[in-house]
Amino acid sequence: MNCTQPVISTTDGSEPPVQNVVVGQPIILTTPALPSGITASKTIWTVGGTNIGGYTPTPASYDTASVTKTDLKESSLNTYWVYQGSTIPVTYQYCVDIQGADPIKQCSMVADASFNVTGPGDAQMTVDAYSAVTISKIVDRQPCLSVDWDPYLQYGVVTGYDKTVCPGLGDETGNPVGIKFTQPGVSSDGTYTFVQLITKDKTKYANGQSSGAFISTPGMDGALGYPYPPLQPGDDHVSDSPNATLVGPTNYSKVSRTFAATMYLLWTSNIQNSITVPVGYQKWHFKTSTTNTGYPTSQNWSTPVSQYAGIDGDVVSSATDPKSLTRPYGYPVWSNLSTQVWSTTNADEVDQEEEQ
Amino acid sequence: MTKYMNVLALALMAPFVFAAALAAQTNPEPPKFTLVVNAEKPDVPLGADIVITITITNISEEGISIGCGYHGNVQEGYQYEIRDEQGIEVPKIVNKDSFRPTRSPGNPRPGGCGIKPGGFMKVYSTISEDYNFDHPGKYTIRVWKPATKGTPEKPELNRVSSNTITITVLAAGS
Repeated sequence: MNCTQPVISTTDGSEPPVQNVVVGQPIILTTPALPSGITASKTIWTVGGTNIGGYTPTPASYDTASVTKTDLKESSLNTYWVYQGSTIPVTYQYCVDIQGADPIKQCSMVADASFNVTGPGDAQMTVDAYSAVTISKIVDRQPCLSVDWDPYLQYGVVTGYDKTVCPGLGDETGNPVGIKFTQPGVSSDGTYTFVQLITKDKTKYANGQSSGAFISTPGMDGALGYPYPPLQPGDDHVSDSPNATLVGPTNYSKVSRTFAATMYLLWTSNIQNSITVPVGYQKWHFKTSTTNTGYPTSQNWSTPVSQYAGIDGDVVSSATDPKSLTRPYGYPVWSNLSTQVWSTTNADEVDQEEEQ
Repeated sequence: MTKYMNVLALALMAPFVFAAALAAQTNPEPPKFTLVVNAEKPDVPLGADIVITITITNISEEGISIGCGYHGNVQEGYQYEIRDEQGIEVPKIVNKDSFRPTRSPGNPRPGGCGIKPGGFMKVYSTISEDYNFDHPGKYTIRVWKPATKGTPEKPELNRVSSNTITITVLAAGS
């Protein structure tokens, strides 16, 4: 009899009792020690369903994130299921190496276990994307405004205080924001979070003689951090409204921006020590430009012409996405935070790459 | 041979330790958050990026909304107090490029980022992008932001300040 470490497997071919667990819950399966003097020469676990050995980042360090595979060769199994499923099989077998014995008889029978894995359900985030990039001028910055970077090339429309010069507790207001991601209701069994990866971001400035560009490296959007803090009570969404000032030490004749990102919705069970699991993702982008008809003496920016502004298809369910079958199994992974550099030599080269 | 497979509950703790934060203000309303800064690397070669992390923790009993987002690689919504070892305030970098825009493109979150009671948000800020760490030596760094919205009578008293950290900028070749 064993209460705290129940035997959950069968070895006689009968159906094992099904265990109920939750996605992201730590699963540790152990096996009893072999008789004294005997060591396993080989240990073989098989685990059905999409499973992983771990997911970093941790809250203490999120400049990288990766997924590790489940180690199937240890005497104990440490794993997490990523997606929901029914009667997911797990098997265990070990072999010993006894000289002179029949090799075929040196491996144990197979122990079978079965798991039902539940999760947050099939609901997905909803996405509201503005379909235009605008010339935005925030008029409500006084009385604390000391420097004015207006106007902006702005995805969506933003009004209200500039939070850089009025760093308070609320700041700018999107009306409407560029893009808004809303979680699928409230989960009583866990918490939803978001994380965004920037895949492309280039803002190019040009006049008749010169050009330069801010170019971002692909990576995690550090503006949101990881994990994005749990949403406030009553707050159920995150938003993004990339912008770029049109003001500089000289007047520009044309400013363009290409931006692409993927927002992931994640879910973490309330069960202690659970890891987050992916729920879905949404790709989005915009490509736009505006021309200064007042160049070179003044600024009179035209309504931006956008090749595109909005979402790239519908929200993709991580559980049904074929890409989730292989590493990183639907997880957002990154090797660095997205960072921005100014370049005068690559500005035109990047343009050529985009046109190809 | 007999085989068993047992299941155990995992009981690991993920410790989060926050350093004490300083709150310097006489605002009658207690501050709703604390700020803690840390250096990614306390010793950096001259000319290398200097990156700090800012952890803002909601110590109130209600949710708060904190401005969040980047312009360039600098986290906006914070004031930075940076001094060299002579105590001289480090100036902001003057844009010497006659073409580059004064302000980098941004990725702001209109409405800010929400933090639940007891929750926190941690952000990176590459302050060397805005401030001129132009000689070797020790630099102290502190950040602050207004404790409340609006324009109080004495705004200098309406601040929540972080701890102060020291970063050493190493001479080339050292």
